[in-house]
Amino acid sequence: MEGLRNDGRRWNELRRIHCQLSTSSTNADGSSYIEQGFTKVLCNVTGPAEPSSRQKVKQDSATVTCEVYFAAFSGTDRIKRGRNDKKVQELQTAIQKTFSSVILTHLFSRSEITISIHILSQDGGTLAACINAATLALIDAGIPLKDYVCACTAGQSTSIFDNEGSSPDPWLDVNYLEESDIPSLTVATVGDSEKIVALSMENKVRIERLEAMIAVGISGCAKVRGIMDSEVRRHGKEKLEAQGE
Amino acid sequence: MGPMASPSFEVGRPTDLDHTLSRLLEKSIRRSTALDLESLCIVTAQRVWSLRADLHFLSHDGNLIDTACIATITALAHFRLPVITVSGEDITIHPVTERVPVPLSLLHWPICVTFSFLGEDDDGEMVCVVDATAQEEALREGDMTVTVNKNGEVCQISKSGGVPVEAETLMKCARMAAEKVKGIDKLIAAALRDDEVVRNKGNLDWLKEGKSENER
Repeated sequence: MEGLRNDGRRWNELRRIHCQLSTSSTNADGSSYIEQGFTKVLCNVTGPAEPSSRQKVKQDSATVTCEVYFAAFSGTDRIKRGRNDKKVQELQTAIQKTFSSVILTHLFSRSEITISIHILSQDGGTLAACINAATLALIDAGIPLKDYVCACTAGQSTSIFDNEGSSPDPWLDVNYLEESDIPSLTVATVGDSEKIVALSMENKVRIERLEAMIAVGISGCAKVRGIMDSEVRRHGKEKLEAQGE
Repeated sequence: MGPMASPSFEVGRPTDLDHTLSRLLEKSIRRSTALDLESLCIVTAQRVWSLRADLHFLSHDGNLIDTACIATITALAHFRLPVITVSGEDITIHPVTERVPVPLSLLHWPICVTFSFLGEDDDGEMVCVVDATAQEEALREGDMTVTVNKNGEVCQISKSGGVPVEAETLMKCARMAAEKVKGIDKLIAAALRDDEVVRNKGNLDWLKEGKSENER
């Protein structure tokens, strides 16, 4: 089949996104579960609560902490990632910094908001799934945000070696196979403003190709936002109806 | 990073900046395959060279990332590896006096350029600054690091959090980074050339012999 990717999608199609709110009701203030293709992420949010250590006390705003746990069985190889693993720490700081700028932290001085993320299965776009899951969990916890933070990945199938000759050929929402093969980036936007709050790319790509990738990524974020918004509305409605009875 | 560079750094406690820095450098230099790792192999699947770059910050006045990256790249380009010969099981490392050491095979020079976003001006346009001082860094609302080489290949981009920025502004920054890198690349090359001239003063035959094309 021409023009189809290895999992049968077209270049601008997202994988199936399934999301759920209030997945663990007892031990967290807010929780969510998201599946993007075969990437599966569970997120719990606790807070605003008293900070766990005095270092984290800020007089004028809340501290956002993020903990990421990789399940040993989440990837293709069984790897146990400890707390000091560089990849874990990088994810943690990326998510923590992203949400510190979006949560209205000035409303909760001297308190801590903890986002803990469990990655159950990885199939490309781990960072994007983590950000989306954290947004949903924060909404479930009732923590005021500026707007939704939605993240999506985009890839670039043409090699870096040919220059102006071929036109850019961006792919939306890459899976693991594509991610390990072609350059890809993760982009996170705030609400429907098309403004980028987080952007990360780790592969080599020609600068001329970058614009198309970012543009496709942003359009993906808008779609993800629609899906997440409808789930939040559905969940809210369900909760209200349950209360009414 | 010790308290020598800035009073805000404490001994023995790695800060977020530490992590960001080491990850960024690793992503910029290792993941972009700037260094040909295969050339560091001595005996396949048995013995390899191990390279380690130690960075010490003497004084902190902003933009540690870019400075660290330029320093690392220059050091790697300047570094010479002793020649080795392998015959059967035996590996001989020739001292510098015996055989002229060879440079590492650096395929390209990835250079980081960090932009600081200082918020929007009256027209709603984002104010971005390149090579921020410590004071500007303390005031900034967001930052982004782009790693480019002189051929215009972007090796790494990272913007985590901070103020949301239009994609167009980010692209403008990336293009500007590509321009800046060309200048920095020339500076590094010039510094290396000057060093070579000083080192080989009056001893150019020795230099010629050391060319890698020569039969060893």
